[in-house]
Amino acid sequence: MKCPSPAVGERGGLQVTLTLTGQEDRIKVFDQGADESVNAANLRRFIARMTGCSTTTDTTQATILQSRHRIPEEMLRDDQILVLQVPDPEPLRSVEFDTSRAQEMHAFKDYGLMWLKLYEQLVRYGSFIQGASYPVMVHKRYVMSPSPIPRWDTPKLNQSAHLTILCAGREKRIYAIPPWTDVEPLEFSDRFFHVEDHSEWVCRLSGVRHKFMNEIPLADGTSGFELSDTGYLSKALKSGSDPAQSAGACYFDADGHFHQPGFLKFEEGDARKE
Amino acid sequence: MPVIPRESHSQRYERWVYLTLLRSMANPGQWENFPKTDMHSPTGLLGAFQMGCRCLLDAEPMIWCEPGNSPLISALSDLRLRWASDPSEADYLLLNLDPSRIMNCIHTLKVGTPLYPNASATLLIALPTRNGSFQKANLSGPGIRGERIASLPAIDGNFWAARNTACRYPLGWDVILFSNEAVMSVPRSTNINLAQPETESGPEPH
Repeated sequence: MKCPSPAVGERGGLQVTLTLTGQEDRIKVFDQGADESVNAANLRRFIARMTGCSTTTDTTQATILQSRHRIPEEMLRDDQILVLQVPDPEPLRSVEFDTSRAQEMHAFKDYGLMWLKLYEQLVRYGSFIQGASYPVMVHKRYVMSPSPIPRWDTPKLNQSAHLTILCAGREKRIYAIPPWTDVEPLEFSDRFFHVEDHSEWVCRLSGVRHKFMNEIPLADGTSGFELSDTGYLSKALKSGSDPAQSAGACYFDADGHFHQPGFLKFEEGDARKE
Repeated sequence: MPVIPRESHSQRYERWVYLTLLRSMANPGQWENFPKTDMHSPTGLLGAFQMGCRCLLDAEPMIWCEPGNSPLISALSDLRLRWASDPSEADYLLLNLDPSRIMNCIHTLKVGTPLYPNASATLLIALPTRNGSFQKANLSGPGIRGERIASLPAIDGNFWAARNTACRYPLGWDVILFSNEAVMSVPRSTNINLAQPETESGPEPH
């Protein structure tokens, strides 16, 4: 059946979500963290009309979450399924344009070009500059694109309780990460993967810190910051500046520490070292 | 006004079966119960096995079924399956009479290739009795938090050892076990440590 959706974007996630969802489900759809974007609102309404499911913006209440380019701040449970929309599922595309050759490289775990790309970033810029779709090694075997989630969200996939399904509709490719699976960002033994440093940024609406922020240009030429995860923001606004009162546990705690101690490593002398 | 499609009872049950299989593959070594429903659906061991087969199979892959299993073959006849004459050619093997029959050719089953690890066999096995023998094993790998002690059905003395020999991730075959009302999966990515080779008899672990 031809899916009644645009010829670009969202088709993969939509097809998976429509396959899984029924009347008994409660679905959350969000786009770059926002539940209210036109894209997310239309998809949510479409899925609800087609399946009869109910909808929510609360991460903890959802049974199925479809996301474009974000993973929520609150931790997902083992009874939830996360569906990520993927525009380009091939992590080797930037170093090998030939898909057949890339398939051979996966077959023989030949990821030398990918390591070289990261090394060149270190030499030229002093750090890994890839902001989204940061490549990860799954089960110590396959390099995978986690979809264009920010680096902030990449470690959330490691040993997570929930099932993650990633689907690229345009390329007709689907892949999944089972719960409790090793998903490690590529890094060298002496130069480590880091998430975005938003430690000095404070949400101007809620006062929350140590979460992923959107930078908002202000009229006076300066910048303000707002929580990217609007579901979490609404909880923070309800409970003052202490969202812990109403929100579930988060992947990054109120002090910015990742919930798996030692997973994110820091070089000697780095002020963020745990 | 646009016509809004509504899920029929049978479509809903098929989706539930699909979700049960999905959860089972995501949680190796753990029994997942099939949904209970008031609608008319096949019941019992053959019923659960049939529903699993209907969810996974279509006219594309090669299927091998034990000789003489005409009830199952006739129950699936409307799927227009492609039947393989030899287990070594099969993408799916249906074993619901005596799974140990496969043992004499188990080393010939498809394990895929480095380029196409998905071109491998999946064994769909129905457990013939509710009170069979079980073998304790420590499972680890994707889908398992740390380690899981599981009771694997003692299909044949050497079945799980042969499975360990065949599975060199990403190569290997996947096993899906059916009981009357539940399903357990053991994908190739699961490490099975058969530390206690003795078998135990007892009720089916639900």
